[in-house]
Amino acid sequence: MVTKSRFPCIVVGAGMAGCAAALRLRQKGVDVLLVERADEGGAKNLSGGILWGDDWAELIPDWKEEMPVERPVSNKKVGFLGAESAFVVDYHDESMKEDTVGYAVLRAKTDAYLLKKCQEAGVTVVTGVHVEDLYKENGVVRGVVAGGEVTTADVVIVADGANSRLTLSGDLRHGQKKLDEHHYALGVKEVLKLDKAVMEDRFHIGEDGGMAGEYVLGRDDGVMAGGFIYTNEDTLSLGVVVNLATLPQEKGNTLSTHDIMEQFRLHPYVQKLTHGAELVEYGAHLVPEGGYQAFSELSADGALVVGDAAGFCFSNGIVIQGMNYAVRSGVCAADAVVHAVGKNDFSAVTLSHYEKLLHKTGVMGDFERFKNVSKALWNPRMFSKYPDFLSNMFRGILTADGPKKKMRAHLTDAMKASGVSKRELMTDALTAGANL
Amino acid sequence: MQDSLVNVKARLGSTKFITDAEEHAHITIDEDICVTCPHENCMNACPAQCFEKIDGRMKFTYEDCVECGTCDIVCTPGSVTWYNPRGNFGVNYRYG
Ligand SMILES: Cc1cc2nc3c(=O)[nH]c(=O)nc-3n(C[C@H](O)[C@H](O)[C@H](O)COP(=O)(O)OP(=O)(O)OC[C@H]3O[C@@H](n4cnc5c(N)ncnc54)[C@H](O)[C@@H]3O)c2cc1C
Ligand code: SF4
Ligand code: SF4
Repeated sequence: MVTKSRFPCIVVGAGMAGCAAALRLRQKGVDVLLVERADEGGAKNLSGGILWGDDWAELIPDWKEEMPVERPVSNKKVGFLGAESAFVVDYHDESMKEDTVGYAVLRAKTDAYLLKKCQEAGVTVVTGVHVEDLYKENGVVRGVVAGGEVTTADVVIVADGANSRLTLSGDLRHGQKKLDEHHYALGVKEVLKLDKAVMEDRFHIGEDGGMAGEYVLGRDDGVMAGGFIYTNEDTLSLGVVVNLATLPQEKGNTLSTHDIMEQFRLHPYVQKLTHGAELVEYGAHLVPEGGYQAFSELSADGALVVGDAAGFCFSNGIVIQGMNYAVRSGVCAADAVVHAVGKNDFSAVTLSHYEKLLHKTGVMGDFERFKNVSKALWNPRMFSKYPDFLSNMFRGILTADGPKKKMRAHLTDAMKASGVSKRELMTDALTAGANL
Repeated sequence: MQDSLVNVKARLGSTKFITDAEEHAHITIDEDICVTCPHENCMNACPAQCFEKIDGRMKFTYEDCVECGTCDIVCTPGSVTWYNPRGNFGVNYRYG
């Protein structure tokens, strides 16, 4: 059955992208239906994660007071973990608390809040409804199919996240029928409960600070993976992000993404930080990291694609930024719909105003710049050689051996021991330096 | 890696699921295609270890699936048929 809805716009998916789009549309006076497959907002969503920046302010001026965020990042750690060693840069900056550069978040909480915010703003919200497909007439998107029934609208904003079934079935991925393993990483994550006072003491963050730690995981099997630890209010987020294309491809080698998570969890450095913490949740989620070349079609006749579904997520294995781009792309798409409503024209040509806005607001520019960063960091040497190289070098400098040798000698020894050549070191340092 | 299997199932015990009836299993595999598979990457990739080889046949169980979509990506032979569970069913994160 086809039901003609009174809504000019249907948004599918109430993650950060879908909520931002729906909220913006309501604020601009456009009626919108937001459909979410989880019964409760956020119950399907998972990130690391640190919400960077202040992008919600445009939609919710008081978001920092209202949104159930965890801790502001006041301590940033970046490190290389060898088999038994850890080389970690530990940066504490109290001023980051006031500027609140980033907050640790748990998506089941933040997204439930956002959905409520949408409802309060007058968005019509339905939850527990899975959109099975986009509804098309003559190749033009005219609505959505749920429970076998069609609901029409002038335009559909597809915000169904990284594992975007709708862009696949709705043919919005340049003819691709399957997502490409080179363009996705898998994040595996555990949430661990830890006594607040113990956490604040152990991480030197005090009552009102928080720690964001990201680590390159040294491995000699060619698998590229990064690890993260974030402090929440009274839990820790602990996880790995695994480059799928580098998993072993031969039959019988059963090293799994779960094993990589276990190895990280059981690393002596991580064990010391998580000691006494109790597991309360295990989960996993895809991370788009193909950048520019992996974007879905962004605008089509009757449809726009936003957030992770479109590919607006940047990851280099250790740092991920997706939530901020989910919000920004959601806002751009909403404004493009407002533009189309004004013209009463929902063709791809009119809706491509979305792309113009993505350029104008700097989203596209960021992804153009990211192109090179990603290449510099997802570099096999970063994972196979540098963790050892750094451990060897600093062990030399910082232990009894240290004062007897010159810095240069330590460097040469470490290069020899870990098999890094001078040329490699120079090139990698230069590319990383130029792109960070 | 039997240890690993026992391990992941224990850790998944902390996660909340609303499990749909078996006839509504959201993912299915074609075991006959799996027999010809050159890599069996589903076993490495799945974070919930829903794929297990028993007596030379690939077996899939949907109950512990966290709906990440990875098996569909890595299954190049096309054995995996992937849908989201029906509304409200499946994994229900309390933290995320
Ligand atoms: C391990 C990990 C760590 C990360 N760390 C960070 C970080 O530190 N900082 C950062 O900024 N980003 C991080 N990210 C990325 C970030 O989580 C994503 O970029 C962001 O969640 C994208 O938002 P979205 O709204 O596009 O998609 P999602 O949040 O995935 O939302 C999609 C929504 O659509 C719903 N949905 C899907 N299909 C349907 C359907 N057919 N019908 C109805 N509803 C549907 C889902 O239930 C969900 O609510 C991380 C990701 C992972 C996996
Ligand atoms: S990767 Fe696909 S074809 Fe190969 S064993 Fe797994 S499910 Fe079967
Ligand atoms: S979707 Fe993810 S968790 Fe579910 S079976 Fe596939 S790989 Fe495993």
